Order: sequence, then structure tokens, then C-alpha cells
Amino acid sequence: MTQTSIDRHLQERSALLEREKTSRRDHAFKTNMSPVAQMAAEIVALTRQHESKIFWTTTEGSHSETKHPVLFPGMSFAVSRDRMQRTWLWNIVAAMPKGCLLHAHMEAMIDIDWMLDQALEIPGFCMSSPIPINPATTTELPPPFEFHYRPGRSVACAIPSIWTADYPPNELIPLGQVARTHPGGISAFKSWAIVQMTITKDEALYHHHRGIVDVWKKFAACFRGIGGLFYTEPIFRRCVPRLLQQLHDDKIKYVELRLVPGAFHRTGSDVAESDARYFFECFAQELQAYCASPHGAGFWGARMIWTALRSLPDEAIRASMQHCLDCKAAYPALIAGFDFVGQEGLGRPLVDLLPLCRWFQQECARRNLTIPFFFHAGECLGDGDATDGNIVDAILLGSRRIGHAFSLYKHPLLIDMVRDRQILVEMCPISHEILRLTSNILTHPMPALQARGVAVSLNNDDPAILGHGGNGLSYDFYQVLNAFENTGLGGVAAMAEDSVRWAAFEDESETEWLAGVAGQVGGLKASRLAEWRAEFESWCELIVRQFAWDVKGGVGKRAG
Amino acid sequence: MHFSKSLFAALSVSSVCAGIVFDGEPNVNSSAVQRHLQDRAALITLEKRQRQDYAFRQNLSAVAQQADAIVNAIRQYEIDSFWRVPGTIEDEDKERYAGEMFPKAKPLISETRLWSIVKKMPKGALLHAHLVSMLPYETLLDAVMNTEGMVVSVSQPVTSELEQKNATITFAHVNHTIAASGPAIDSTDYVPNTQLPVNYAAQSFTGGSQAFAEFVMSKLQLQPEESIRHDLGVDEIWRIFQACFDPADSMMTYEPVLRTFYQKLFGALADDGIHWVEIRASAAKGVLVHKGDEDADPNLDVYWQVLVEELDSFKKSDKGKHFWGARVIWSDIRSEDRASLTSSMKVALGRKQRFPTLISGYDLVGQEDLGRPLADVAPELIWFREQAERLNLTIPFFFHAGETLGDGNSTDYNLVDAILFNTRRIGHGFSLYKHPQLIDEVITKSIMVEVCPISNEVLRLATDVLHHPLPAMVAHGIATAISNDDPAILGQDAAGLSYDFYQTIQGFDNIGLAGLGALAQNSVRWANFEDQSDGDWVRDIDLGEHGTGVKAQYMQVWNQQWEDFCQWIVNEYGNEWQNATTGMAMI
Repeated sequence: MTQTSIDRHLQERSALLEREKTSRRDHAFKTNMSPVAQMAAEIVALTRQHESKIFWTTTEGSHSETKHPVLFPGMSFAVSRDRMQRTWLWNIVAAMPKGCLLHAHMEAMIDIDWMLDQALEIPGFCMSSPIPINPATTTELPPPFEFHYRPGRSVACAIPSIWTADYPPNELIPLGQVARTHPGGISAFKSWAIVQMTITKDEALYHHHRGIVDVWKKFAACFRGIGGLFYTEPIFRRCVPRLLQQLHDDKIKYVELRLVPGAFHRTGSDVAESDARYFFECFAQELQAYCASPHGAGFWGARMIWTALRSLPDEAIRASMQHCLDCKAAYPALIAGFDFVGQEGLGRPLVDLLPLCRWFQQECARRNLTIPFFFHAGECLGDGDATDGNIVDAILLGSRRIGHAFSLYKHPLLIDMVRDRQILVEMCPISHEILRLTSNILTHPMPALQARGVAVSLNNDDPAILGHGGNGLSYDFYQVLNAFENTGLGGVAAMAEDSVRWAAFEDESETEWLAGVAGQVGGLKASRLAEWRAEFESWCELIVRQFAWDVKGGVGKRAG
Repeated sequence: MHFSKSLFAALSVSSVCAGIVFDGEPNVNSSAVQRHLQDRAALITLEKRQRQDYAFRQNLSAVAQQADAIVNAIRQYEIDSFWRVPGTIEDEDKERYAGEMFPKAKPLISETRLWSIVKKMPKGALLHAHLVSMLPYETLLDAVMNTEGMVVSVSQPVTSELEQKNATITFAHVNHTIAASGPAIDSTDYVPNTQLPVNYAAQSFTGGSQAFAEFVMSKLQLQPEESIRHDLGVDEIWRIFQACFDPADSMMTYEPVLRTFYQKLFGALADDGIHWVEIRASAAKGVLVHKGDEDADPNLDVYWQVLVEELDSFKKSDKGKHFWGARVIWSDIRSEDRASLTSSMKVALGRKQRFPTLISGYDLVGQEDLGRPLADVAPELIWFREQAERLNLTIPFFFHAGETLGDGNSTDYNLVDAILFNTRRIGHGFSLYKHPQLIDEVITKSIMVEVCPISNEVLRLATDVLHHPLPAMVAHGIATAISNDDPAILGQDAAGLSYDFYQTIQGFDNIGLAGLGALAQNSVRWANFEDQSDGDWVRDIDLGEHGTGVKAQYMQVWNQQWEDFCQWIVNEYGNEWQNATTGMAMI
């Protein structure tokens, strides 16, 4: 009798679990996987399990007095980043076809050390600060220094160094001079500047108790430093092919870059351009050149999502929107959409920006321009506060995707709407951890959305600032694959496929867009989806060929 | 949800802008904006209808509505004016904000008005707490110090901070005289495990009794600097956490100390507005040393007899005359093997026969991630259930389940087994929000989730209360109540629920006083006051205050307390915060 009861319990158990899996977003993908893909999925599951036990778990007696004695699967990114690259799972993830990168801020994607090198090499870069900078101070909030491109400026060398107390405030000093006069020399200057323009390991690890507002102060300050370097033609032109190559190397085929068009300097010009047209011209040229180059073969391309700072007053936002409309008219292929950026919790909520948003939509219609919204919404911890409410407005404003939607999991009705209206959520797991929405990947609510059938893609947001240590998506994919039992190869692959489905490759009406998302036959999106699927199958074959376990030999041994 | 389908249809028009005539300027009065605002309000209203606290909110009296508005205004004022303090360039750690990590917030909470309000609130029943860690250890240690014959020993001399960290400390009662002399426990000459009279050990400790007490407390409580190190993960904090139980256990084996413990505990709960408690406890080994003895009585009933007597005597006391009572959820350790678990279950069944009123249900405890999953324990659990039926005993399950960060791992799936085993409540259910199908099951079967916000934070499932999934549970319609789990160890350092209630109302705009009231009322609705069949249990939950049994009666009592409490808020704060209630009907 007891045995019967146990059997019945186990039957009911698997029935319930089976029922639960059917509502998952990745259910269809997983059930339709080829035999090779299924085999690859098993290999990945075994590899993950094995590495969780032997590679990510502290063995007895290995505690020491060091700051970081504890290992566990899913541990903080800041301490697992380098370690994960020694795993088999990393090698598998690195080779994965990742589809499209849909949520990343371009200014925050350029490696800071590389950008500093360019600025030191290219003539004309200066640095200034409203106060002298003490190079020895260890305060976390950087001094408000800025970079400037002033190639035409002749400089009096007698000005006291920015590192001394008698530096005249706001005086522009040639960057080479700033670097040389740093007490530790050029390399010390670079290390100093990198700390000022990135979230450091300590900030990422030990300061979670200070909360989100605290880390955003530093985060925002990083952008201030970056702006003076990035928005200059000589550096920007070098950025584009390098960035695209990095993404391509990580098996990303296409990217949508969010960007706040800043004051842009032409090569040789002390004066900024009056609008962003030339900036887009440079981007178009570099993009075209990259795609035409041998390196760019197979790369699908890139578009921009115009972003405005959400904290600005009506007039400034309206001007930015107008500017966006004008640039869209001039470069229709480059601008894919519109969004607001900046710390959501401290900026204006969407409901406050509503008249502007509705006006923008009307202007688009009037001028026959297709600039859909791709809003940030719910990048917050609140429940029922204004930032959380942004999700409601993003949905009602017809946002085609939602950036972050971190608080969405708390709202059953909104979850249903997001799913039924075919809105994809752009998740940025490492960004969420570093910006203190989660304390590590395990605490991320993403599984709740997937379980409810919401489409999700993985993104890296601001890799150069947040400490990813490289451009691409392998880190974020690794984190997610490693953290959750329910995801697995089929789960991450479904996310990659969805990133292709929800990419805005070209201007489309609402109807065309939804048909593309639904997977209609024919057209650009369909052919790219087919291309991605073929790459996925090859990847699975590669896994089976290179990473297969010798099952008879037990865990720890590999075939070949 | 059928109503949301029709809403989609109604809303779909307004999200498409093409074709709308515009006037050239952004305009808040434009038809598109106005329609959006209407849709927005409709959507938010609709969403609130799915909430578990919806019915409670709908039935708020006019006074309760006023109190709710006043408390919301106070909360918002304190978020902006009290909690929000930016860090400075010199001291970034000055940064403070509403909802910050509990160990940081705790010293500040008592300065707020919201705290004065929460403290006074009628909290109904405490449904999830573990006996040994329910009462602040200062109180327990004080009882030990004042009890004759109590001795202490440590596993090694504690001359340095590291040795203090590594040593284990044990209390006992002896019935012979032990000389108050010899090397102090923090002297290099101390011989490991030598028993010293506690008072002598305290006085001879470097720094005297004060320093000794601090050392003992460090063995019994998680320290704030440990609690905030979320980067070290769940297993690490559990190792420290579990080590706290042994010394506490050893203090509570001596009958006079245990009796004092119960009186202080019940008194502290009553003071905090709690009327009923279900204690998770186990004394499978029956460790009780009678007054004047030093060996444990092998009779397995005496431990429970003491509890019954102390509860009776408390209920007769002045403070306890409105206290409804206490029951015990028998809790075995989930990591035990089949043989020892089965033998412990036999003890549990035997105690249920002897103390049917006291023993309420059955549970498995210990770190869920590292213990046996319920699926693995299924044979024992099914055997237990069959034995209970055979003996005609009502001893339902109240399982811990899903106290984990995993998604799809064996701990996460304990939720499935708990549901299939007809658990009447789920302890923690932290990972439940990730499982739509299980959420439906839990709602359909009227299973309540015992949520322990501070415990979940300090044991590193949630970085702080803002990261807690409680709002997702309430929004999805899951019944929940707030519990404190192990307040003596985890840092609340108070026996009641006020800190956990404070954190909950502070953390989320969507909760508010009314939401907190609903959670407290849930605790009464889902309390296991008496043995009931599954059918009667569900019926009484459904009927609530309209039923005919004990539960209805207590719910009526709580409802009246709630009204009185709301009236008190209006009287106390109404004038100062009258802007909050402007436009509301005045009483």
C-alpha cells in the first residue's frame, strides 16, 4: 500500500512539473529541438552540474583569511568573471550563436583603457577640472573632470599641473601633459582614470548595502568622463569597427545601439557640430566599411535607438525629439527607435512625459517616419511606485520591447499583457547585479517571467563601465545558463532566437512588425531567423563533437 | 484571467497613434493623452483586483480608510525626510535610504513614527518561528546567570578573536559544587571543556561580565557585519547560523531556565500584539534536566508537560488573560537518514497521542538546500501519514519549501511535493513566485505562505526587503502572513513581529496599512487553532469571521482590535496629518 502511495505521488509530481513547463516561453523551442540539439542539451546539463560541484563549490577545509574564501555556483560576477573562463561551459557559451544585441549604450561599450590610449595618441585632447585633483585621494565619487577635443588650441606649458593645488580651475591642459605630470607617470594616470570611469570590483562587491542611488552616482559620473573622448570624430571612427568586430567575434550578428547624441567634434575642429547629422554620417560610413570588409562578412549590421535623458525639462526633451525626427528623415536606415535614459527612479516617469510621447508619435505619423518606442521601464525595486508604474505606460505607448522590466514579475496582469502583445523584455543580468538590483545572478527574477511565457533576450547594457571585461554577450549568457536548472541549452538558445525575432532590422508598420515577431515566412527577418537556426544546429554539432561526456567513464572524464 | 482579455480589446485602439489628428504641440489635454490616462487608471484598478488583499481592502471601514491614508502619508514623509540621507565624499557609508539592509536600518527604525504605529498594531498569530531562537538571548542569558548551579565550558581557551570564533560554548546545570576558581576561559591555562560556574566565568573574563556577555552573544547571534556580506552566499551564512543553535539549546535544557523562558516569551509576544503562536520545535531526544538534577529525564513527555503548564499559568496571569494560546509544529531535521527520521516520527506520533491539543502538525527543518528533498523523504512521509490515520490522529503537514534561490533544482521542487502532500501552509515559499502552475495550485488549495522577510534577507535570499518577492505573491493572489523565523539569532533581537511588519510596510508602496492589516488577518485565518479534518479546515478558512467555530470567533476579536487600532491612529495622528484625509468622509 505504501509503495502504491509513493508511486502515485511520483506520478502526480511529474504530471504537475510537465504542466508547468508547457507555459514556459522556451517550451516550443525545447520540444522542437533536433536529436543533435537534444544531445547537446544533455551534454550542457551534465557539464553544468559537474562544474557546479567540482569547480564552483568550496571544498572542506579550504577556508582562508583572504577576503574571498567562499565559492558557490552563481557567486558575484565581480569575483567569478575571470574564473568562469576556465570552465568547459565557458568554451561552449563562447561558441554559441547569440543572435542580436538589443540593449546596449554605445558610449558605455568602448573599453576605457583603449579609449585613453587613443586620446593620448591623437593630437588635440585636453583635460580640465573645476577643482585641482589630488591623485592620492581614494574617494569613490570621481572629481568632476572632463575631456575636451581642442586640436586648434595652442597651449601655454607653464600652467600649473592639474594635480597640484595651484591649478587654475577649468583650465584645459593637454592630455599628454596631464598624464606625464601624474606623480606615478603615464601608466599610473591611466589606472587612475580607469578607476574614475568604471564601477570598481570593490564597489560591485562590497557596497550593496549602500543601495542603488549610491552606485548610480558613480555610474553617471563615468559617462561624464567618457563623453569628451567618445564624441570626437577621430576616436569615434576608430570605435565603430573595433566594437563591431568584438561583437562579431562573440557570435553576435547585429546590434541596436542606444545613444544620447552628444556635442560632436569633427576631426581638426575645436567647435562642436550644431547637430548630429555628421555624427550619423561618420557612423554610416564606418558601418558600411566594416560590413564590406572581410572581417564584416556575415555580419548583419547595426542601428541606433535615439535616447534622451529622462530628467530633462519638457523643452529640452522636445528639442531632442525634434532633432531625432530630423536625423531620422536624413538617415532612415540608421535610426530604429526612441527611448529615454538615465536613472529611472530619479528621472521623470513616463506618465509625466506622456504629452511629449504622444506628440512625438503624432509627428512621426505626420512626417511618415517610423520611430517606434523601445522604452526602459521598471528598472527598479519598488512595487507600486512611479518607476514601477512606467511599465504600464510603456505598454500603453506601444513599446515594442521593454528595457529591463525588472519589476514586471510582480504584476500578473501586466505580465499577461506583455506576453499577449508580443513585447520582448531586454534583460541585462550583469548590469542588474552591478547596479544593485540583484546581489548575484541567483537572485534575479528572470525565471519568473520565462515561466509565464514572456519573451526575454540577454543584453550587456554598459559593459565597459560595469566591469564585464570584454564586449559581447558570453558573460551574460554564461551567468544565466549556469544559474538556473530550468534554463539549459534550450532556454538560452530560445532567448538568442528571440533576440533575432525582436530585432528592428528595418522600418516596419505595427502589422509587419508583429508578423515578423510571429515568424512569418519570407522577408529579411525570416531569412535571418533561418540563418540563426542553421548556426544553432552547427553549434549543437560542435558541442556533441567536442564536449561529449564519456558516459561510461562517469563524471569527470571526457570522450576524445 | 477573463476580465483582462476584454480589457485588451478595449485598450488596443488607444495604443495605435496613427491617424489621430494633432495640434502640433505636446498637450496634456489631447485626446490621445487623455485616453491613455483613462486606460492607465483602468489597468491599475484591474490589477489590484487580483491581489490577495483586495477583499480586505474593499471592506475597510471609513475609519480604517482614514488610518490607511494617514499612515501612507507618514510613510512617504519619512522616506523623504528621515531615511533619504546621501553619503558624503568622505564617508560614502553615510548613505541611507528607506528599505536598506535590516542590520543598518534597525537602530534607526525605532526613531520613526511608523514604528510607533506598527508596534501598536494587533498582529494576530505568529505562525512560523523556531522555539530556540524566539526570545532575545540577553533575556535567556540573564536567566542562566541568575539560576543556581549553571555552569559553562568552552571547547578551547578563547584568548583571541579567532579563537572566540572557532570555539564552541556549552551551558549545563550541575547538582554538585564546582569551585569558583581556576583559569578563566580566556586564559591560556584554561583546560578545554572545563566547566566553570557561569558567574565566576563571567567575572574572571577579561573585561568582566559585560565582555563575557558580549562574547556569549557573539556565539548566539549573526553579527551585522556578517549579515550584510551577501557576496559570500547562502551556504556560508547558514554555517554560522546553524552553529548558533547548539549553545542556545544547552541553556534551555534546564527546567527552571526553560520555565522562565516560556513566561518571558509569551509575555513578549503578548506585548507585541500577538495572541496566538505556533512554535516549530522538536524534543525527540527529550532533553530536560529537572530542578536540582544534572542528568536528563528519559521520560519523553516532561518537556511538553512543562510547556503546557507554563502556557496555562501564563494564560491565568494578568498579561496573558487575552492570549489565545500556543501549539507546537513538530519539526524533525531534514538531513536525518531514514532510520533516525522514522524513529523520531514515532516519538512525534506518541507525543501527539499524549498531547493532542498541544501538538498541531509536522514539518522538516534545517537548511533546505543541503538537506534531503521532500521527494526523497516521500516514503517516510507517506508512512507517517498512514500511521497517523491508523491511530486516528490529526497531524497535518506545515512544510518548509522553496527557501532557496534555485529555479528547477531539488529544493525549488520541494514546493511541488509540499503541495501534493496537502501541506496546509508553506514555510517561506521563497521560490514560489517563479512557478505559475504551482501558484494556481496554492491558491486553489487555500495554502498560505508564511513569509519571513528579515530572515530571508539575513540568510541572503533577498539583498534587502526591497528585493523580496512578497509583492509578487500578494499581487498574484497568494495568501501570505508575516513571520519572524529566528528573531534571536537573525538580528531582530525582539520576540515579536514588529520589525518584520515594519520592513514589510516600509518596503512597498502597494502594501500600506491596509495591506499590512490583511496580512495580519490572514495569520488568524490560517492559524491551526484546533484539530480539524482537511474539509473543515478549508471551510473555516473560507468562512472566516462568518463561521461558527473557534476561528471565526478569534477573527471577530481581531477585527475589533483592528478597528480600535485604526481609531487610535486617527485620534493620535489625524490632526497633524489631516491633509492626507482631505476629501474623505469624516466620522
